[in-house]
Amino acid sequence: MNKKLTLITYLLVGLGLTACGSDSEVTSITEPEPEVGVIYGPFTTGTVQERVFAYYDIDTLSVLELTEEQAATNSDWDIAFKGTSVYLNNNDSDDSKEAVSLYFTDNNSDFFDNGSAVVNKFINATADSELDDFIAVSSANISENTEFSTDVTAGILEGFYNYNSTTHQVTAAVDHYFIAYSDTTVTKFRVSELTQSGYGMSSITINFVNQLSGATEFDALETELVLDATLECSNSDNIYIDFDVNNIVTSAEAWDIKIPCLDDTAADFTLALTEDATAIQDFTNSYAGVPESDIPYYGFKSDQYTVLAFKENPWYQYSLEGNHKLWSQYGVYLIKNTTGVYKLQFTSYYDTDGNSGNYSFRIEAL
Amino acid sequence: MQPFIKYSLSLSCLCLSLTSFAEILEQDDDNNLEHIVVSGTRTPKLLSNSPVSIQVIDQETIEILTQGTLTNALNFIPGLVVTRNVKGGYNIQMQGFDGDHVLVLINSQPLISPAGSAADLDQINANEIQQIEVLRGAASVMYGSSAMGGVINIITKDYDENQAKVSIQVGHYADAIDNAPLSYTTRVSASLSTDDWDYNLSLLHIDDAGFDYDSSTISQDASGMKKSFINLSTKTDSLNLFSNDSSNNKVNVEVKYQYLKEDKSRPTSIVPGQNTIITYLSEVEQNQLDFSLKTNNEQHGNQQNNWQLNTRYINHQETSGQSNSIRNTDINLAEINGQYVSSSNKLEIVSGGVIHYDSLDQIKPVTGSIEINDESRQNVDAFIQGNWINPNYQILAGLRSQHDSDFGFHSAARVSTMNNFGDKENRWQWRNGLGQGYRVPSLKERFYIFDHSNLGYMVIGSADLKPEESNSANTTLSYNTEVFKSSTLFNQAQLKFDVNAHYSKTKNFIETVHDAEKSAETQLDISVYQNVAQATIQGLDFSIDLSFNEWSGQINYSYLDARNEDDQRLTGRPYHQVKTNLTYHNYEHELDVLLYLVYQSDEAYDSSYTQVLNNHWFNANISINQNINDQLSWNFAVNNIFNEHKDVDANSLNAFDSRPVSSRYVTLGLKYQF
Repeated sequence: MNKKLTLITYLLVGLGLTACGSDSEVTSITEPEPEVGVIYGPFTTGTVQERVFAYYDIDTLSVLELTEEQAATNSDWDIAFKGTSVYLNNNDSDDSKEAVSLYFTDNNSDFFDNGSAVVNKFINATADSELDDFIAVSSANISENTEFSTDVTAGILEGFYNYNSTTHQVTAAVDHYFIAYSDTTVTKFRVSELTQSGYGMSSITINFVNQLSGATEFDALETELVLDATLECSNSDNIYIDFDVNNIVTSAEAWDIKIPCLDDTAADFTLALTEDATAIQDFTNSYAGVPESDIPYYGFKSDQYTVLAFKENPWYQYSLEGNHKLWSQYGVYLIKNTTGVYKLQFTSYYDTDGNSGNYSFRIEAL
Repeated sequence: MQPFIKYSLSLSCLCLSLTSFAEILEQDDDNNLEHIVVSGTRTPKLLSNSPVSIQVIDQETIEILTQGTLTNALNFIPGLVVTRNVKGGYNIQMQGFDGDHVLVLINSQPLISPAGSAADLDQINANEIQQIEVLRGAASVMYGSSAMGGVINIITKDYDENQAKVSIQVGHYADAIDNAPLSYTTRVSASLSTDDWDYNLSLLHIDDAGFDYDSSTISQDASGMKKSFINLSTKTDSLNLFSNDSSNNKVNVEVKYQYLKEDKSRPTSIVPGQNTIITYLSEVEQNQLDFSLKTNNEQHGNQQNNWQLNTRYINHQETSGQSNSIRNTDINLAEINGQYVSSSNKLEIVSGGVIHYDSLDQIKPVTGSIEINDESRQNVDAFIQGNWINPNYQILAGLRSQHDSDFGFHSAARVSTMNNFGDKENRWQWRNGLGQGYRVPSLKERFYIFDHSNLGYMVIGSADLKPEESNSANTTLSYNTEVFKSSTLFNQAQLKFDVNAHYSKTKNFIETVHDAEKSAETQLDISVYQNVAQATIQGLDFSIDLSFNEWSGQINYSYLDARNEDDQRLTGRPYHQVKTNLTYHNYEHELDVLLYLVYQSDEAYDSSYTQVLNNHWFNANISINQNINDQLSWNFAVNNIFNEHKDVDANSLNAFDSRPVSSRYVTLGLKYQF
């Protein structure tokens, strides 16, 4: 052993003894403080050209590798992201599991002034500056009156009748109009009369006006179609209506809406759109016409559609400086799943390079 | 030399029709030599003898207005609206047509258009300019596609003496960025003339610091920019291509080369929720090579014949965009054009042809997404124009036919007349023009996939676009006289009065239109190029010019009404514009002072704005030049004296503010000539 190595050995032994001596002086061990306000992500939802779902399990704080088909029956994920849309698992396929729901605590409401975004507040807010808002939310924010929202699937043609829960009588909602877009024809219609027969309808009267191709308003002349549901349902499982020909048609023809039959004598209290058609509800009778070119702006929906709870309680503002970017309000949401309640604060829609569709957020169990 | 007062005789690059020139000189006052212009007929004409109304800015005025690029000089021209584009460059509007419909030429040949069909005025070196000629109204007959609103033809200098110059100018913006308070413009040029050949080398370097209204925000309002031009040229007017020794067979040969390098950088935003700063970057390298052959006049009795052949090649390479979305662009332009002029005392025939090629390739290197897949187009044009000349009137009629590789044949015609009234002391001139214009869709409009989907929007080209077409009419009445001839209060002065009315009807206008269907499908804001509509543009320009020996003043007012077929105003066009200038020249001290004011109001704006902060603005500018001796001169200028500019909160408020993105800019410069 040379002199240098000998010296190093002595030094190491000396240091080891010193360390042992220090240990003997420790009287208590403190638990490490849990890290507060950790930001998870960014979790990608693919590129704009090819958006994909990111299914997030808030119990394990991880993204689950699922196909859309698998996700439809999977109850492990709680929140899913795709582009700018955020979904809650409504566990449709598993009645034993409660749907994931949210409650918006409405903190940072000062980011809006009379409903208008205060641009500087959005732009100047950072994850650090809004950490205290996240920390401030606790289980005390949950009360018996806290109304959690879920993603809800609904039919666009719902609401054509009124139900009296006292008398259990059903009547036509004569002022509830629907505007359907099917086979390049825009049609405004309502149910003006119906006859209840048990749990179904024995007759139904539909009044409608079509909008001629290229026109911007509906025809003045309303067509009335009186259907004998008892008769029609004795021959078919559904009653198919084509507004272009003003009549009942067969399933093989270009029908626009259908009324499913309840049994051989009555039709169900349901209207349904054909697969490639869309519609809106016009319960205030506001629209005298819908130009075909403007249809994308009116929010037409397919027969069954989902109302996203996050869309009703948006977490971002878009293009505040005219530059097409999304800015978080840093609002805190309470997310309830079958295991508990969590608080969630979105911090960014971008990765560090500025690519969109990459979610970052804080999430903690309450 | 004082601008706008003492007319300069500027021999243009083209040969002069000697007969007509001699006639006009005879009629003219010996002391008042006029500009020669080429843009109206593609042949040299005295300004007063041009059958088409032309505005001219001469070299002396340009030198007072700018030491750098063309932008400042064009802002001075009445009726022109200079607009700043999204890349921080500058485009123009003329008679209600935007930069895509106004053709900017250098020596009657086109430039490439990095931002669509519009040339960037900030990429044109003002130091090489002999004069700027502005032709208002449809001019597709002589210049082809895009000349719907008019033509700005920049005539470059000829160097034929031994000289060298060096100059430096230092500038400061009122809203200067903290760490870059000063901007610099440096010029060096040298020319050498031998018996047969002339040579010139010119260097220009601009180091512009940019400006920022609010240093507390991430975004800056104007880019810091470094720009360099290198210009080389050589020419001879005595090359004998033929064995015959006759001077009539001597040929002018000219070769010009320009290299441009431009770098811009401007922080624009921060990634929301991240700490990354997004910066707009632009790196441009451009090479331009011109070659031309021209004959001297071939005289055959009263008949004169000459011809010319010009070629131009431009390659433009650009890396630009937001720092997280950079794109590489490669643009090429190649053109060969020729013309033959046959003239007598009463008739001048110009005939010629053009072969033109454009290509455009654009790709985003990070994602590999192709925005324009190396697309190209070609066109072959033939044109003929006759000019019937009479002492009291002229008639100019022309026809052009173009075959485009993608759009087939297209033609345009124009007829112009000029009538002279009155006498030498009270000269009236009435010019009228009826013309057609057209513009074939650019490669960008047809093939572009502008993918800013990471920011939520895209702009997509449409391959099936149709060419735009226009019919337009112009009428201009001019009056020239001498005033105060017998006044004891004032010296004799020259009074000039012009009134111009114009009307254009266009169809198949190409604009970007929001595509609701594609937007809904992709959840993006998708816009596509479409032939959308007809437009009607009409207006009135009024100008009065009073010139004394040392003082000169000019007031111009332009009214414009531009509407689409739904009677909605076309955005970006002001109803009213007033440009006025006052110049003073002190012969004893060789001092030039130029004050010019610009006022614009009632600009049409997009309905998406939620409020209007300002829709009228006033801009004042002053420039002073003085020759201390034969070698040394100094200059001082203040642009935007009252620091009128767009409100700093306009973008965040989604508010319309018509004022330009500008900042008071004070410059001081020195020039030394060897």
